[in-house]
Amino acid sequence: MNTDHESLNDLIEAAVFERGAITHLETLERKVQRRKLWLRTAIAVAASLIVFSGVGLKLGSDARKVGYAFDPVSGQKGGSQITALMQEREIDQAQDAIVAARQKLSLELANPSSFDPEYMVQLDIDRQELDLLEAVCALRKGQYFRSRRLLKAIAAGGGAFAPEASSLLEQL
Amino acid sequence: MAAKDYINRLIDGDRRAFDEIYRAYKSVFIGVICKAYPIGAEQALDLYHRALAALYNNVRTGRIGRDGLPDEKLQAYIINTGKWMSLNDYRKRQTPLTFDTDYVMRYDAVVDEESDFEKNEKLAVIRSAVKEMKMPCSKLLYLAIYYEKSHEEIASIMHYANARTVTTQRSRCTQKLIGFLRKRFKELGYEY
Repeated sequence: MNTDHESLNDLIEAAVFERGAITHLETLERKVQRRKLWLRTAIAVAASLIVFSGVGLKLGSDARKVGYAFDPVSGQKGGSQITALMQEREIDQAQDAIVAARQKLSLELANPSSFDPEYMVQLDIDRQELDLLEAVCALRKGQYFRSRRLLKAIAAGGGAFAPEASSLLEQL
Repeated sequence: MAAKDYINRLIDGDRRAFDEIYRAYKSVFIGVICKAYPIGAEQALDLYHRALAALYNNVRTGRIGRDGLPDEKLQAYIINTGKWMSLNDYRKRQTPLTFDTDYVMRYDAVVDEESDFEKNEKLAVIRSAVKEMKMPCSKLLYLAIYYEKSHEEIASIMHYANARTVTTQRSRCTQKLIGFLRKRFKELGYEY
């Protein structure tokens, strides 16, 4: 081992240099770790986006296939106008027509022209039909999650169109 | 692959060579040390920092001269230094602040070296005193000694009036440190 006598000044200088070098390397290491963490996060986010987009595209495509494979039955209350628009692939207009039909139905339910029980039941069936047509429009627009939610509600309701809704859910 | 010529570049003042050495040998060093000794990656990294600091100190003080440590021997040098430091830690010994390249490259000789208790204690006191230095002395001395800034540059960085003020302040800081160390050595029963 080197046994040269070193002055206190020399030793202090060497110790300061050593501490300076170690501090510099610790700072360098922190920068490296921060960069690695940033890269890892960026890669994870990018991978998630790719996977999410891919899944989203697939689900949307599946929903559209199911929606267009289904032939909506025209009903009583503006159903033929709505289904005609759906046949012509004018889905946005079909949705507008559904909204208009709902408003008309709500007014009718609030102030029915007849209190005949069969008439009231028919109004409810019309409402259920609009729900189904809305769900099929959502399918045809590739709105997978929204259409699933609407179909589940119809199927759970156990109404006139529950079987159709259940069948569509199975296909999804 | 072209030689990086790290040591010659350090001697010529290219400080980037130090960062390059750090990146080049880090994984190998940690791998070898963790395999050789029962220590974790964090402790191995600490040893790596100390080994590189010692390397740079030896370059600075001329113990490693131009062409004295070619790139192909550098890895062995750093690893041997790390192993020596690990052994010193285990034996509760201080690694000297500077040492000869021949010494560390003959690692087997290191194992049997005798402990100099007085030197050991003094080194520990010096390292501790330097680590615990307060501002402005800590910043001033690091800028002057490690970063090799001129007194004009330090005056600008630390907002001193001029270079002469820096010279005075640096002298004061060094004398303060020497005074503290002499007092501490005396308390431990040593003269210097």
